[in-house]
Amino acid sequence: MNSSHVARVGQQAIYRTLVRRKRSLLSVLAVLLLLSLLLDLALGPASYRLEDVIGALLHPSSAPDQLRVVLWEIRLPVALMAATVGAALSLAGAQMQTILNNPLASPFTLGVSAAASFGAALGLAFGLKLFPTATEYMVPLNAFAMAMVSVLIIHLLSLRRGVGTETIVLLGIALVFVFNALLALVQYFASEQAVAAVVFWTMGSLTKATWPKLAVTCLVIALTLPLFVRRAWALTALRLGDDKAASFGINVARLRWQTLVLVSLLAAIPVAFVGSIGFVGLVGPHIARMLIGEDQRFFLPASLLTGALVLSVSSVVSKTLIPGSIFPIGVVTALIGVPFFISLILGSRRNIW
Amino acid sequence: MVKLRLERLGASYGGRKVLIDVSTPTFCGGEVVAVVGPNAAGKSTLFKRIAGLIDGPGRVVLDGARKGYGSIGYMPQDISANARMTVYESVLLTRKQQAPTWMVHDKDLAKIDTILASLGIIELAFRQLSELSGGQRQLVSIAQTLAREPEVMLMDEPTSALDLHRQIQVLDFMRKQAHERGLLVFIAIHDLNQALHFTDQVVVIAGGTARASGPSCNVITEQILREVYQIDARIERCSQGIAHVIVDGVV
Repeated sequence: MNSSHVARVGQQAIYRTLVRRKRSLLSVLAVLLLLSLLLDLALGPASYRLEDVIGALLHPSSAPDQLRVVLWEIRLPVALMAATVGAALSLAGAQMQTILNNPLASPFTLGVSAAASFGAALGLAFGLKLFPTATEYMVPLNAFAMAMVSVLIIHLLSLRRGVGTETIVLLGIALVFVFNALLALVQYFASEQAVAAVVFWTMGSLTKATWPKLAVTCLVIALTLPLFVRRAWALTALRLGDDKAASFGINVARLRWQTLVLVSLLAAIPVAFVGSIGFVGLVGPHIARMLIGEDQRFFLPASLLTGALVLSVSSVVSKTLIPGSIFPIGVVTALIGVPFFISLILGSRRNIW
Repeated sequence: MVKLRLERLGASYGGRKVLIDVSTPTFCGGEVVAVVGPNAAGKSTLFKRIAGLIDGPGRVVLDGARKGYGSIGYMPQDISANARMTVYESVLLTRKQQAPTWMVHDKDLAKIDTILASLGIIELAFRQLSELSGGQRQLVSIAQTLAREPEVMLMDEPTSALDLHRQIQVLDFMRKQAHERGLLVFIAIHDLNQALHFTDQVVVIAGGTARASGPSCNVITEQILREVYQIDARIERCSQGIAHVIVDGVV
């Protein structure tokens, strides 16, 4: 009786310790993100010292004009956009992997990014507006519309009888090929200038960041996150298998499509603003899962932080790779992401997933 | 006390009728009911239909359950979850489905400790689900189902991956849970001798219909074994007076 009592207290204590460890890990990620953001702000064609940057951040009015303008008008939107886009894509990827029960699911591999690129290309090459809008927002809106179309196609196909989660992932891969082919077709008919614009867009670049775009991206996260928070236990339960989750009274089909709609917003908006930035939505959640596990109470914030961190660090790398110029960040994330992607496929026996 | 009766229950998959007019007498809390029958007879479908995972004609009449349908706990056969989660987290997770606040109380944790200890798997508490053997997964799955404190438990072949010791341990444990806490336990099982030994009632399912149901010794007869399983068998009592199935061969 006594020894079993001791054992019980022991298990609870271990659990509480593990929870504390997860909380500290989240704090460490947050600190790393902050450091990366500061580094991102300090780096650029004009280099400033870190303490000057921090000073200008805290007291903008007392900072030199040039530093203030560079920091607040150019670098801050870009640096924050990197973190926000990374967070949104990572969250999207995390929930895609959760609801589709597949480690390879992400906005990039399911065709959302390819569809967005096609939409953007239609605008860039032919000035085709899918919505009546100001020319400034033509490209993002086109990209967003096509991204939503791709998600809708996946959703409609997934409603068919007997279509399992594996089929959905295969359908997504098929969509990638379809939209890439359509993109190639656009490029074939487009002028040389337009092709250059399309290619640059598809590489993804944070230089398109502005405060309003940043605000919209933040808003999407702020609107979707509470809905995930409310469903945290149910979403975690999906990972025990559909039958098990359903036996808890969870409407699995409804949870899956509701999540898919939210995820499509999270994936489409950033891609619409900054172009196709791949692999963050794949890599971010995997790092989060390895560090912290799949309890959504910790997995959600961890995915946000790892995604933000990966893209923020990529932004720093894109500035330092060739001093004086900024590499398209999509190239950097792909170069980091592809080896990771391959290691995921090959290393599945190491229980990453 | 919880009572459950099936009235002309049916189910179909893509137009094919898998379950046809399954009716049973009323089963009461405290009883262990074996659901037996050949492979693909419809046992799993019956459980899913009772648990409300699939729709179909007929009625599941549940009386006296505190949480209504929420008090039916279903343990599926497929337990191949590969989530990056510890055993402890996975059991906590099933318990938290009922009151989905983020806060975890000490009494939830205490309950999990008790369940894991009673199933003899406390040493697995902080192992990853993906590292477990088939038998360990079954025990964890039982723990997950128990964590919801069901009043009716539907266990789809809970002992299929367990060694003999663990099989007996689990069946004995479930019988005690039924007797001591008034739980109504349905177990899909292939071993008829275990059904005779550990269960009070038996439902025989074959070809999607209920061929017989009632007290174990009355239902498991030489005739029904011949009809349903196409085997020649004798039912004989051992020196302790417990009925055993002795198989002589196939028909």
